[in-house]
Amino acid sequence: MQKYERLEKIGEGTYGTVFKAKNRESQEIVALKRVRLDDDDEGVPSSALREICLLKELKHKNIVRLYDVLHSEKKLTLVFEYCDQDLKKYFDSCNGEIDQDVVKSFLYQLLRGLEFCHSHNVLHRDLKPQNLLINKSGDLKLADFGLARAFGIPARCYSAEVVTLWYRPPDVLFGAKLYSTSIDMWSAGCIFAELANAGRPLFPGNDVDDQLKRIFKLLGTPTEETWPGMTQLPEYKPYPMYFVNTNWPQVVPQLNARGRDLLLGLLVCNPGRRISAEEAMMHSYFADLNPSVKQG
Amino acid sequence: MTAPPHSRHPPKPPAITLVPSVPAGQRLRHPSTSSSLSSLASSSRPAVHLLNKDVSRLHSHRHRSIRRDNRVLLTTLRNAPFVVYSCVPYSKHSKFTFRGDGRRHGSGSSHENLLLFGSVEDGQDVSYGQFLAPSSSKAKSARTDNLLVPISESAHASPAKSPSEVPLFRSFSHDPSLLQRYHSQQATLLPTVLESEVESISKHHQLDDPELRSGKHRTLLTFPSYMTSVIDYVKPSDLKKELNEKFREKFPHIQLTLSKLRSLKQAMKKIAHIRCGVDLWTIATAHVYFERIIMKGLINKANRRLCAGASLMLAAKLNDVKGNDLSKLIDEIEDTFKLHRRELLACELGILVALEFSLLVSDLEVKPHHQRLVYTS
Repeated sequence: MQKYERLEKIGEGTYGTVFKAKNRESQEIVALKRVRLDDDDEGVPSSALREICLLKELKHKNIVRLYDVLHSEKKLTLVFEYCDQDLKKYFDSCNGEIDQDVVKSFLYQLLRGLEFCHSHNVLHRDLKPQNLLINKSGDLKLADFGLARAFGIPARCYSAEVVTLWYRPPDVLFGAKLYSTSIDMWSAGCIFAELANAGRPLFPGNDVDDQLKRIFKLLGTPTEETWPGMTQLPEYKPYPMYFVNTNWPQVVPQLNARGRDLLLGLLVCNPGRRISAEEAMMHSYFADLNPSVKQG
Repeated sequence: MTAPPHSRHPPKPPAITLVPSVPAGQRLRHPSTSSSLSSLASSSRPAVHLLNKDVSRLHSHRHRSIRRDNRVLLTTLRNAPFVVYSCVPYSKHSKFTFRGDGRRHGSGSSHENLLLFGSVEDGQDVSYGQFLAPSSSKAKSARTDNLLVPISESAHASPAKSPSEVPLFRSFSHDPSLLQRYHSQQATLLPTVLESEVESISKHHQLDDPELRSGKHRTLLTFPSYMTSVIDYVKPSDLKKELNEKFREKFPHIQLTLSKLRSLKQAMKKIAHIRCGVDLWTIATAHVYFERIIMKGLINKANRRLCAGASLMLAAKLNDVKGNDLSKLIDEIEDTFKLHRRELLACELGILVALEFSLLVSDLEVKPHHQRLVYTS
């Protein structure tokens, strides 16, 4: 690794170690992801393959930039733009308090990155605070496209084994294989609530069953009327009809009424009724967004 | 240090022969750009004298023993090659020996040297950063990062939008205003959409033309209200020969016959769809990768099964085939195509790089392949 001077280990990615490194020529700080290539294995890992092929097409200020792919004997090194921390670590450092303007800015940037992915026919499929990177100037970038994939119109069947449990939408929890951009919008909703509460996750379920119960207790159990086709999903099973009188100002105390309205637009069990990233960006919650964030 | 990959690899025989080698019998015209070389090429006998001057010797008796169709590599004393040529005896009926168009395919592009995977020297890195520019037409279109432009304007601002780029309005069915906007946007896009569609579909049929089925043994009758074809009986072997000849005329640089191309594509379907249950869309995507490699002139007799197998692997990995399903698919590819895993994996990386990481292909490009797979099932 002559071009980069390795600094410290940042973490373990889905398929390899991530290091902070410095470009010896330009002094630029980058993140290096190393991917081992074994002769008797299955070749380039799917996650690395997805990350390379998808990030190549996704150049946007709210999406982490892939600068280079280096090939050396028995390994590939992916060279990424470096960000100071991820949203999870940011939460840890803010001690349960967060400025609501920061919440608005982060959510807007998340939606803008997501809108770009969706308009380029890419689903992220693993949105969670660990995969959102934050730099010192308050920019947010979507990262870790190891589970992402291209989607077509009309939708085709994809894997149901996607998205980290807490951020997984009810349709995918019921085994839906026919999904589209709405899969990411649910995760965005969960992250929005978590942001507003300075890092307290909205649905921290232990397993699929517990996850669905937590969702339905807050939003009400969907029915064939509110969500046609639900009972036909591969792993559908009936859940009790919870009596719901959710007091939203209690669930997200720091969030204003417009914010709650947007949150409820994202957290809709029926995937067909969840709002899109593009619509969400036009929501009145962002009317008073700092113009510098809007212009980026 | 990273350097452009073409300077990296010494031109030794490729470990994986994805490199377009000069086909037997193909005439290699010496590049006219170099005057010394062209003088060397102008007559074949003085070449030997020239050789005696400053490069390794080719004795005249040895020269005589060079059989036709063989390639001759001229090297300096330090074994750095500078000329490759082959001797083709003059003949009036040499039409088929001069298959090539005389040019080395893909020279100037970086692919030909890129594919010697496995041979990256220890401690050396090869950078593929130059391939990371977005490939899709949509990314190249006038789409700016300024997302504040209202929808109607942005639709006008980027007339080159492809239909696949039209964002999916998940909820437009219950929002009439949005629906209206969507349609007006579509209306403005319509002409360009059609153009790109036609272009894309014609691009597809470029290589494996579905019309190349019955050859000349077909009479097309055009009546005022309908058209009909009369297809005569023809011996299958004659038909095959004729179609292969037509294909070769169309693509002289491709070292693969049409019938072989079709049988490989069938084999890909058999391995992945019939034995491993991979969906046809994924196989159609693999066909797109495979044909792109062929169009680049990177295919030859030695690597065709490797390329077909590796194309399948790449398409499968990007289409949610994982775990045991993926292992089974790779095993099937190895068995059916009789390949070594090591070579298959090296070829996977080779194809990935040769395609410049552009594995995200538009639905429009996959669709015709998918249709053919569906209808030939």
